[in-house]
Amino acid sequence: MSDPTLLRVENLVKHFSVDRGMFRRPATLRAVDGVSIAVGRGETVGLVGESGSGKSTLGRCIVRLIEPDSGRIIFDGIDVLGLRGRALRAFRRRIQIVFQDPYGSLNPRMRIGPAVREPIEIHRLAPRAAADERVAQLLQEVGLDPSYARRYPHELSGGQRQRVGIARALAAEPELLVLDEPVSALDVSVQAQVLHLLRSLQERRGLTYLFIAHDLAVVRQMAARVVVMYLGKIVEEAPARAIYTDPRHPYTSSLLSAVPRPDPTAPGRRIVLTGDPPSPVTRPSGCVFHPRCPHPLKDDRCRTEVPALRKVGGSQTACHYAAEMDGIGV
Amino acid sequence: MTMLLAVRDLTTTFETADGVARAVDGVSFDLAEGETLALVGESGSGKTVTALSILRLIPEPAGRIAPGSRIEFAGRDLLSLSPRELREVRGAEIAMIFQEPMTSLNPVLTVGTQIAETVLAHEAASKREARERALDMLRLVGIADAESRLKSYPHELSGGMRQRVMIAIALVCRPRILIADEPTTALDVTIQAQILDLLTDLKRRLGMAMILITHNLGIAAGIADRVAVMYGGRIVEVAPTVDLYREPAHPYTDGLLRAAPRLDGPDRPTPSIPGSVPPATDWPSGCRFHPRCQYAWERCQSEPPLLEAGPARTARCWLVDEPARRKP
Amino acid sequence: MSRLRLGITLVSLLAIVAIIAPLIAPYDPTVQLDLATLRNAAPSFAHPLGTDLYSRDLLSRLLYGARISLLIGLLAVAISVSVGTSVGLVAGFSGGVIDIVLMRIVDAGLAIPKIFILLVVLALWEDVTVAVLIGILGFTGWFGVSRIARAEVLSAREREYVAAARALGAGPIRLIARHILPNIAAPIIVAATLGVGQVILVEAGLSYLGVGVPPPQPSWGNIIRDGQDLIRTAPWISTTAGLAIVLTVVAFSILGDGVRELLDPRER
Repeated sequence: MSDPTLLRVENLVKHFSVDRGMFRRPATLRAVDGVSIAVGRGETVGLVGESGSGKSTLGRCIVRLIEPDSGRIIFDGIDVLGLRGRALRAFRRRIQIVFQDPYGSLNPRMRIGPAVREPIEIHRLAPRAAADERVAQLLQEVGLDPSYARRYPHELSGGQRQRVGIARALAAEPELLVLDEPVSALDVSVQAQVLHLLRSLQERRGLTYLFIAHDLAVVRQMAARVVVMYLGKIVEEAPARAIYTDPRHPYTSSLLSAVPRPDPTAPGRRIVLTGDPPSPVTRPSGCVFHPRCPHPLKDDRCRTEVPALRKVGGSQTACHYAAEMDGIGV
Repeated sequence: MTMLLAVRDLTTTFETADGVARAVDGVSFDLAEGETLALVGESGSGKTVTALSILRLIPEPAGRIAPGSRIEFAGRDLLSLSPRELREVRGAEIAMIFQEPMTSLNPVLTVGTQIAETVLAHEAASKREARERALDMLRLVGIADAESRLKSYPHELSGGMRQRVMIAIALVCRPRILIADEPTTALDVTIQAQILDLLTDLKRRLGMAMILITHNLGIAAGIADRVAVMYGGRIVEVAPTVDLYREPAHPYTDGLLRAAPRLDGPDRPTPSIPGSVPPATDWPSGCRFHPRCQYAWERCQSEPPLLEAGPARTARCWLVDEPARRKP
Repeated sequence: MSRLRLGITLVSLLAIVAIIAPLIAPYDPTVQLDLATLRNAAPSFAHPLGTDLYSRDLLSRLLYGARISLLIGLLAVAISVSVGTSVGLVAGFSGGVIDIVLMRIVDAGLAIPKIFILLVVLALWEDVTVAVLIGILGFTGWFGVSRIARAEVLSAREREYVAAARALGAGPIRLIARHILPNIAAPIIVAATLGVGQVILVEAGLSYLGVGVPPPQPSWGNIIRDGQDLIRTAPWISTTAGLAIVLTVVAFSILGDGVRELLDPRER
C-alpha cells in the first residue's frame, strides 16, 4: 500500500486497421495515440470524450479486452501487458469493468444468480456451499432483493440490470472498476440511483474508479479529476473544479458550452463548434483539434506543431495558447 | 392564436405477450401555429407512441388507436382520413424526423434523390425543379458543398450530416408541423448543439410548429415554448417552459428536474426518484406516479384529473388542490 | 404456441406408434403369410391395408416402417448435429487457418450433390445395415449445420456479455459452454428438428432406389418400391406409405417452426 498510485498507463498506443474496399490499402485508425494517465488508490478519475475519442478503447486496453500495440500498463507495481495465460486470468479479478449496455452485457440465457456467482467460481473465492450466500449478499449490496437470483435478465428493468452488472463485477472482489458509460443507457431518474450506489460502494469498499463518460455533467458528480480526450489524445487533464470553472483547452470549453442546461433562462451557448470531428483515420496535422478550434489566436503553429501536455493554471493542457484562454471560457 | 393541431383523448394500445399495453392512455393537448411543444418523459412514458399516433404510424394490428380518440389537424380529423388522404398529409403538412438518421435513410439512394423524391411525391414539380429544391434544402440545413453532397450516399456522411439530411427531407415540402423524435439523442454533444441551433433557426425562418420529443430536460429548456411532461401513458403536467422549470407543479416533474445532472450543480450525485417506471401492461391504480411519490397520501388512490395549476398550466396531481401537503 | 402444440402432438403420435409397433401390429412384418392365396390382397378385416406381393401384412409393415424411419431420422440427425456443431464451434471460435481449412472442407461437402455421394458410398458398401445407413446419413449431413453454428458463434463471440465474461477471467471452455453454446442453440435445434424430416425423406428415396434399408426389413421407401408396379391394381400399397412419409415430414416441419417461435427471443 506504499505506492499511492494504483494504475499507471504510460504512452499507450492502439491502432486499428480499417478496410477501405478491394482496391485501396487499409487505413490506420489511431484509436489511442500515446496516452498516459495515473489513477490513485480510492480515487475517481473521469475520462471524457465524444465518439472517436478513444476513451472506450483505452478502458478496454486497461482490462485487457483489447491488446494495445505499445506502451505500458502498471497496476499495483505489476506490468499488466506482460501477463499471459493463467497469470493473466488470475490478474483479471483485480480490475473489473461495468459496461454501458446492461442489455448486451448480460448473457440472456443465464439467470441472475449464476451470472453473479460466475466470478466467484472462476476465481474460487468461496467454497461451493457459501457461494449462494455470497450472491445473496452481493445482490443486497447493490440494492436488489436476493430473490432476483432466480430471474432472467429480460425480466429486469434497465436500472436493475445495471445493478446486476455491478454486483457481478464486485463478486470478483476487484480493486479498480472501469465504468464504461455506466449510466448513459439509463433514464435520468434511474441514472441518479446508480450513481448513488457507485458512490456508496466506493466509500464502503475503498474502490478506485475510472469513470468513462461522454456527459460532463454526469462526470462532475463522480470524479475528482477529469481527463478530456479528443481523437485518441489527451487534450486536458485537471482537478474537476478547475475543469468546470476554468477550462484551459478550447475543446473542453466547447464541450462544456454544448451541454444543454435544464434552465430556460440560462444565457445561450457561447461556443458552437462547427463541423464534425474528423475521423480518427484522417487525423489533422499539428494540433488534432485545430480545424474546429474556436480559439481566436489559432494560427499556423496549430496546423503544424503538435502541442505537448503542459501545466497551465490548474490544468495539464495540450494547447499552444492555453494561457490565453480567458475570455473564451464558459 | 389558432389551434393547428388538437389531440383529444388519444389512447393507443398494443397487444403484448403480457396483455394489453395502454402505451398512451387518454392524452389531450393543443399545438398552436408556430409553437414549439416539448413532450418530455422517460422511456415507457408514451411520448414516442403519441407522436407516431398523430401520423398514424402505429404498427397494426398489434397496435391500435382506440375508438373515441380524436386528432384534428387544421380542422380535419386525421383518424378518419383514407390512406390516400393520409399520405397527402404525411411529409407535406406534418413531417417527422427520427432518432437514428442512419436507419431512416435509404442506404442505396443518394441524398439528392431522397430529397427530390419527397417533392415529387407531394407536388406537381418537374424532376429538374425537384433537384433544385433538394439543393436549396441542403444549403438551408447548413451542409457545406451542397452541390457535390447531392450525389452522396448516406454511409458517406457523418451522423450529424445525416440528421441534417433528414431535416432537409422533412422540411422540403414546407410542412406546418415538424415532429422531431429524440433528434439528437444518437449524436455527440457538440453535434447535438449544432442540430438544436439549426432547428431553432429553421423554426423561426419557416414559421412552422414543432413537437419535440425528448427525455432531456436540458434540450427542452433551450427550444420549447411549452412543455408537456408524460408519465405512465398520460400527460401529468403542461406549462409554459419558463414556469415549468421555475416551479414544477407535479412531483414527477420536480423529481426529474432534481435528478437531471447539471454543470452548475453540486459535485455529488443528484437526488433520484425511487423505483422505476411500471410496465404499460400494469399501470398502478389511482395516480400512476403515487408508488414512487414522496407526498402520496390516501387521496392518491383515486386518479386526479389535469387540474388548473396557474395561468395556462395544468397538473395531474392532488397537491394542486392541497398545496399545504407539499413539504418545503 | 398452437403451432408448437400441433407439432408436438403429431410427432408424439408418430413416436408412440413407432415404439409400440410390436404391440399393435397384427403380424410379423417380414413373414410371408401365404404366398399362394394372399398376394396383393385388397384391404379386408383381417388385413386392414391388404397385403403385398409377398403376402406380408401391409399395416404391420407400415407400423414397423415408422420405427425404422424415425430411428434413422433421429440418430442420423444426432450425429450430424454433434459433428456440425463441434466443427462450427471450433472454426468460429479459433478463427484463422483452422477456420479457413474447416470451412473449405464444408464448402466441398456442400458443393457435391448429397444424393450422389450417398449412392456411390452405398453402392460400394458390402452389406448395408440400418446402423451403417444411419452412420452414412449422419456423417454426410453435418455440413449445413456447421455453417449455421459457425455463423452463430461469430456473432455470439462479439456480444458484450462474452467480453464481460472474458474480463471476469473466464477461460475458453467456460466461454463456449456457458456463454456461447446456450446462445447459439436455438437455430441449431430448429435446424435439427427440420432435419429429421429431411433425413426421413432421403432414407425413403434411397430405400426406394434399393440401396437403403435392406429387405425384407420394412421401410416406407421400399414399401413404395414394392408397390410401384401394382400402382393400378393395388394403389393402396404405395399411397399409404407415401402418405406416411408426407405426414411425418410435415409433422417435423410444423414442430420446427413451432420451436423457432418458442426460442425466438423477440417473442418474449
